[in-house]
Amino acid sequence: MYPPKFGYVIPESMDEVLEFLEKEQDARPLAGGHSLIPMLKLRIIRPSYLVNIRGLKELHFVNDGKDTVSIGALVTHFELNTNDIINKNVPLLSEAASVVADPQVRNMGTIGGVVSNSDPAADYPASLIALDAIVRIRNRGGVRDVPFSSFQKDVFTTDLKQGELVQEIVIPKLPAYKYRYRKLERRAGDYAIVGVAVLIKMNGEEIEDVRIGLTSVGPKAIRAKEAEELLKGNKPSDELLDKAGEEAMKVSNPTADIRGSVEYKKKMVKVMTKRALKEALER
Amino acid sequence: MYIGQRVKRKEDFRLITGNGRYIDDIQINNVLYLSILRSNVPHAKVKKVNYEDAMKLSGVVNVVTGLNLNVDNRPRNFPMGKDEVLYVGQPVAAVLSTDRYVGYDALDLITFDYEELTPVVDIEQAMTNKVKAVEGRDNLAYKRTYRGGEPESAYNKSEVKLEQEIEIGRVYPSAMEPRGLLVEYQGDRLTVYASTQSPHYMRSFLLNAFSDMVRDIRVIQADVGGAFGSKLFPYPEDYIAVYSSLVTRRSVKVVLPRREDILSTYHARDQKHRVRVGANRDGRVNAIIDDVFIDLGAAWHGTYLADIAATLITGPYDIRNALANVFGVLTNKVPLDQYRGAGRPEAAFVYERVMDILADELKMDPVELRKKNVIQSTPYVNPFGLKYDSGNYINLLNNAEKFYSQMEDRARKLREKGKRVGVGISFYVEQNNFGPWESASVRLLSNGKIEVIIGAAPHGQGTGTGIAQVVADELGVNLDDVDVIWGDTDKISNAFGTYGSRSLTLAGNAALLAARKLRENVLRLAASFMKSDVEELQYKEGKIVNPKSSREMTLKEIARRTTGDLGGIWKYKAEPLLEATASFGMDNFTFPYGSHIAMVEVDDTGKVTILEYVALDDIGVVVNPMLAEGQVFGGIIQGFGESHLEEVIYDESGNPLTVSLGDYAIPTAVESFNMKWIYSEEGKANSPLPAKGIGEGATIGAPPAIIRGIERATGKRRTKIPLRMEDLSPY
Repeated sequence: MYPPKFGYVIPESMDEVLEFLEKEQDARPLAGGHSLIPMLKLRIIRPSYLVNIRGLKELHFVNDGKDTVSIGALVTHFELNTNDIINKNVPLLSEAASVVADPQVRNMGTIGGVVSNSDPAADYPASLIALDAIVRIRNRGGVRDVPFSSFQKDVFTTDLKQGELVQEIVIPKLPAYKYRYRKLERRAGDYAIVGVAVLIKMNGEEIEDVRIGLTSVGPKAIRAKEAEELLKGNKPSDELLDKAGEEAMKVSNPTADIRGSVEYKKKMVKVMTKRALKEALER
Repeated sequence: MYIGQRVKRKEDFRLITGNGRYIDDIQINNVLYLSILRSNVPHAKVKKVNYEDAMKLSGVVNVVTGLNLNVDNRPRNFPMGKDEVLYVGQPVAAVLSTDRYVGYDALDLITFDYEELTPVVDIEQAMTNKVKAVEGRDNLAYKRTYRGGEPESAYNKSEVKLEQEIEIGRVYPSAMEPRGLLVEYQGDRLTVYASTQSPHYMRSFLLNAFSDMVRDIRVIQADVGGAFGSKLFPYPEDYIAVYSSLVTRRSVKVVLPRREDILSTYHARDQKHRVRVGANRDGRVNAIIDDVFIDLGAAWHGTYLADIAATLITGPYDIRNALANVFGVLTNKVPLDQYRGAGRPEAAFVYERVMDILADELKMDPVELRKKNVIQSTPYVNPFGLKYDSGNYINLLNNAEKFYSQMEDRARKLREKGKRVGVGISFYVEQNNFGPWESASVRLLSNGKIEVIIGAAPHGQGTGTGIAQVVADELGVNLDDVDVIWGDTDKISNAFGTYGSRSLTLAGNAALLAARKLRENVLRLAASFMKSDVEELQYKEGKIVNPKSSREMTLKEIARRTTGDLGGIWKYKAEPLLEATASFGMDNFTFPYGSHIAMVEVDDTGKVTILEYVALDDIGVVVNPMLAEGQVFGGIIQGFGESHLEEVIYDESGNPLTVSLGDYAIPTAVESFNMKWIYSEEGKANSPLPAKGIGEGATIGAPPAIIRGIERATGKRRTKIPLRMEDLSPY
């Protein structure tokens, strides 16, 4: 596990970062490095330069806006889990942060890194897609906003172009929503066999609105829209949640690996969706 | 008395304050780093290795290819694939460079031309012998039959017959520290620092291979970050590193990155048993006939693991008629060798599955069935001639039953609430002290402290503390005044090492005997100094006392008096000898036995949680209950891993799929659970220090108890480990 030669740059400003990333085709920004460095050591990637952005204060913030919370790309999983603003306004994401990998990764890894890496088995995408999060991308020309749902393109592929960097994730506040992130894993710290993020707004005894985000069930995170439609306007019951799980299972498209067959993983989408819904409702 | 006390480990202060010295912590000047190109194909004829470009890289000193040595039980292409590669991970070329990064850059520039051969990937395919795993060799590398009594007729006459296939998966021993060694070049001599379980054995196998190139090899065991059996037998890297040092006349270091350790450290277990059992309707077992298949991978040094499993197949039960046919087959996988338990977990998984399945078939309580068959008295000779030395098996089983019944009651209540919960019990016998013997020296140092050198080579077990307790008691001195050291072929001449739950019994008894000899020497010296007859003197709490004159001398005074003066003459009759060496071997193995009880919950994703766990053992005298308990707890967690999470997986083309600790799942602290350990000291070993060994017991007892719990929780017969989540989900 020894990486090939690479250049290493510590820019002093955002402008310098963007300039460098635009100029150097194979340069990669380095934040927490907990995916990048292992890939480098396995010689799966061979970047020309690592551009250390860790010191950029303008990427390290949590802003409590009127209708949104903005989370800088360098906010770590540990911070996501413990930050008061996020706990209060986006508890779903805090909950997801608590089960990302292990403590070492949570101390170092960042939300910007997860979003940019676009690993299909990552935890946050289920929540981000359920929350209708916006990815704010910075380039030398300014910023552009892309909904998370279209930002993620495919396995390890995003909408980022050369010279661009994720600046922040903008998340609409959903104060009246119950929430739950449920991850199925073989052991603590493992990649999700399936991850389900659920947001539910009740109106009396009826479900007024519901969002179900699924991760690790295909090349990118998806919403279980049919399941959501089935639930909306109805009174939750065991039977209804079963059916919702069934619908979520239908839209999932996992691949077989050592963690389980396609069949097993699909069934687990059903089990975990129901579990997440039930536990959100019990909150 | 220190024996029997929960004394904290003497080893820990150094280790937990960051002062451990593992291979990669040892720095010597001008060292070359060894990087290894490994085969990425499971089976191929090697045509040509192209390394010219690598040689041109600045910092590359040499490239080694095609090294073949004649080593027992290894194929011709060992330690390197010269004309044939036999598994993914096998070394094909090695780069010697002044920098590790350059070494791995150089590997990018080496290729080898090959012609792919069909790989042999499992036991069934191997047994057909149509395709050979190793060219020119029969796939059936090993066949042996063990027979006792009249197995066939006893089976045929039985009222109840049971046939079952039982599988034990392939595991990676996952030591925290990967393998590594540092070879220091010293002209006609080498000093090898190694992450090993036996420096003496390593010295001997290295000298066997290189005695025409070097006069002697001193082996020093560095601190070892775990081994679990996987760092005892010779590896290709050991030979490649030593050879490289001898040809370059430079010191050479190799420490495997995790990925390479997973790809090349000998795997373990991987047995399949086709077992037939004949019993009476009342549950009494008459005969067991077992076809034992072991997937040896691409070498045949692991055959003894099937022998151990075969000869223990009747377990702690009085089954008079037994037959075991062992078949060891070659495949294109990493060679198989030992892992904590080494054959005994495989046997126990089979005989305990048989007991549970038979109980279910006969609609009997599983404990009742075990009681019907358990050995009534010891010593007991099993049908293959193993003599179980001592103990009260029924008593321990009765004790275990109490815990089992209580857990069953609680499990029933949980089941009534709709939970999938079950309780499993296992009962096992272990064969320990794979010897043949061990050595120890005890020295009285000039400062009055005691130094003990043992031939065993512990690496985390706490044996140093245990033996210090034994010696401190024997000499009546403070534990702080006893230091136990080990792991250097220059410190003690002949020795074996640490494996097979042997160290406390064999090295402990050797140290005990050496301490007694030292005491005699000291008495003779004291007699000279005190102008007394030896017979008049008494040894009491670290002092030599003359009851008549009330004169006394401490060990320290004797040491000072013996060593204090430089110059002059030695005017005393007694030999100025302040050290004694002893060796100890036993004419039989020791046979501890025990029982594990587990309450298990399986949720609807197939995830297993252990709710309650109790282990009972009789291991003879327990020198340090805290350390023994630690061994049990660690072993249980490994047994849990092996039962539910851990499995080395190859695809149908022979490519390994579990190549990182992200893929190969070992349990973490989060999966751990509360455990209780209870020990009895009824069955003592036939030795001055009557301890039987506890290093491996828990890995034997855990899987059958856990799997039975899972079987009861899920209501489905279970015949293999690991049981993965997918196997256990009701959907």
